[in-house]
Amino acid sequence: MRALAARAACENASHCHARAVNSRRAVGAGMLIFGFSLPTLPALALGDSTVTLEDVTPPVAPRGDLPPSEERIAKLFENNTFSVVNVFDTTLKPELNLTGSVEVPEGNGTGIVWDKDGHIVTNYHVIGSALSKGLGKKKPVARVSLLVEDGVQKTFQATLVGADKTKDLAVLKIDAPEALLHPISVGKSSNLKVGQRCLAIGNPFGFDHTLTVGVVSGLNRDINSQTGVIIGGGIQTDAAINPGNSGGPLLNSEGKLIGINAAIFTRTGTSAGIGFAIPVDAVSRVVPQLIKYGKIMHAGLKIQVAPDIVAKQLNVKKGSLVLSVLPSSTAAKAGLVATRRGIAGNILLGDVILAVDNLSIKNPPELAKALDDHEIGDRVVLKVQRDDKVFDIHVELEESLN
Amino acid sequence: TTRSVVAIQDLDLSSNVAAVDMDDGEIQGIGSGFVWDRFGHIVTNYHVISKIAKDTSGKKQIKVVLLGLNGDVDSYNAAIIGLDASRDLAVLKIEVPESSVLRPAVIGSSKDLRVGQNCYAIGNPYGYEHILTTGVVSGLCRQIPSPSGKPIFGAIQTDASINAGNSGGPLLDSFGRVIGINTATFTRRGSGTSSGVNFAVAIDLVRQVVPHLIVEGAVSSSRSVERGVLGPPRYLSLP
Repeated sequence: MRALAARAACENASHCHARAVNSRRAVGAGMLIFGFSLPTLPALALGDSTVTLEDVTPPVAPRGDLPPSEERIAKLFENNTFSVVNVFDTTLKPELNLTGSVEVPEGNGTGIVWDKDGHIVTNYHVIGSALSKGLGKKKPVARVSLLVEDGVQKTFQATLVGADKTKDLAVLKIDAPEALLHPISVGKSSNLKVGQRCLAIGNPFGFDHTLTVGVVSGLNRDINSQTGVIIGGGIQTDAAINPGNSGGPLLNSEGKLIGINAAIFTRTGTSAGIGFAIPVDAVSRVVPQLIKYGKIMHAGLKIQVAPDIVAKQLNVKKGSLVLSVLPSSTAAKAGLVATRRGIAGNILLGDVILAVDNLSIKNPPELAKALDDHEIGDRVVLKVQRDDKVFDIHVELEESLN
Repeated sequence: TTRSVVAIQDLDLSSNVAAVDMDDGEIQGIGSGFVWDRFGHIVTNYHVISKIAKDTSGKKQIKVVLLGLNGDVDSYNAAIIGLDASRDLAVLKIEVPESSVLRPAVIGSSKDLRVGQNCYAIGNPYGYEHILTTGVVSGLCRQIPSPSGKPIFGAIQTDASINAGNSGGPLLDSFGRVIGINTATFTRRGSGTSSGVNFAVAIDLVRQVVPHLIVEGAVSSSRSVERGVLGPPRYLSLP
């Protein structure tokens, strides 16, 4: 096969990476643009007989050391690339070979080595297919490839440790020798400044360990995650982020993790210079819980609210309509009223939550996010509409229902 | 470098003009290239001139446009000297009045490239207006398809934008040396827009192949050239 021949050819050179055998797939849904059309011409060109090979072989100009700023970035990449892994959801079918003989490593996403126990952090949606099939904890859900030496990768089966859809994070575990595990250095996201340099390492389109560089373009963005929820506090960057970068690290210029790349805003499906990362402070709160409990406890109320379609049918245009309230819950104790049937069989609307602590709520995802921003035990003030009266209800948050 | 980077234009002569009059032709197919040596050899991508290379009507002419000594823009007819579809390379030749008009590009090497260092992709699609995109080296030793369908090895990946305008032109490092030839960009089918994942053919490969293309016109597509040349001897020592 051509790919194997290529490997042999490259071996004698001081490695154009002897890639690990088990991770090659063709460039799938993407393509490289040229302006050409096959088939090509047999050589019609005649060559130039007026010159010799020596005449037309230019000398190689030497270079000095890289300028300090470039040297720093090159070193940053070299030191941190071993903490970045390829993650491949094993329940996905491999992509078809669409561009001839070119083979590109598998990996529909990226992950980060978190600790020496073999925990790998990635996005929930990277292994979404496996998770939606309901594979339980401790079941293999993905293959993770670690970079062993420059260009050489070793692949391991990864089991699920915990995952949370609303934070779009998942933790996997691989059984790899400690010497191969290089945990990422965790930074802080609370003191980030727009304009500071950041680096993304990931596997866009399967090109593994790709480095892209940009700046922090914005802070505190709402990320529309692929899991269907809104994640707040997102870091926006113009470092090129593409499908395949998900789950990978966003580093600051000291090589510390400041975010996990999760989403892009695009009309074409590829990078348009607007990428979003989940801030590391949120990740640092979530990952230990996922490792310890397999899930995270979300602050909220033990109530069910009406999804948009139902709310529209019941003529509730703004806010969140309460459908049901768990009898023993703090919401019930605070006097929140659910939707119920009247004596005549007609529907009596329950309370509509309009705002949480003065933050107005337009729909159920916004309510969930507003409550989730708190801790369990916090007291919040809900602005509630009941019939034509609007008033406040004070309630203590507990673990949310879903 | 600006004087080294040229525009490559395909001139399509209208078929109903009896006399061959270049000025009545239509200009099509634009890309970039750069001056290789003082003999007038110009290096570019095969795909930039592939349409003309396959044309049998004799009515297509390649023109190379470059900045002259006094800032003028001069256009020259170019002959095809060598083609290598499997590595997406082509060599043209122009005849200039005096060789001082030509400023060969400074050639570097790709084997000591490091991921993270800056790189600059230059194009000159119209002959008088250089375009520059910048970025870093994103990855090395990538495999990309060539116009012949065979893979090109050792390609440099960069997040500097590569598009039809700078295709065929040089990719430079911070020392102004050519480290690659801007060749392709990765895009989802149908979108046609760049994604920040772009590729250049490595200069070490170009430097081995182009002299043969010039002298012999073609190069065998056996991979003996790659064997001797590719692969940066980087040592990423484990931290």
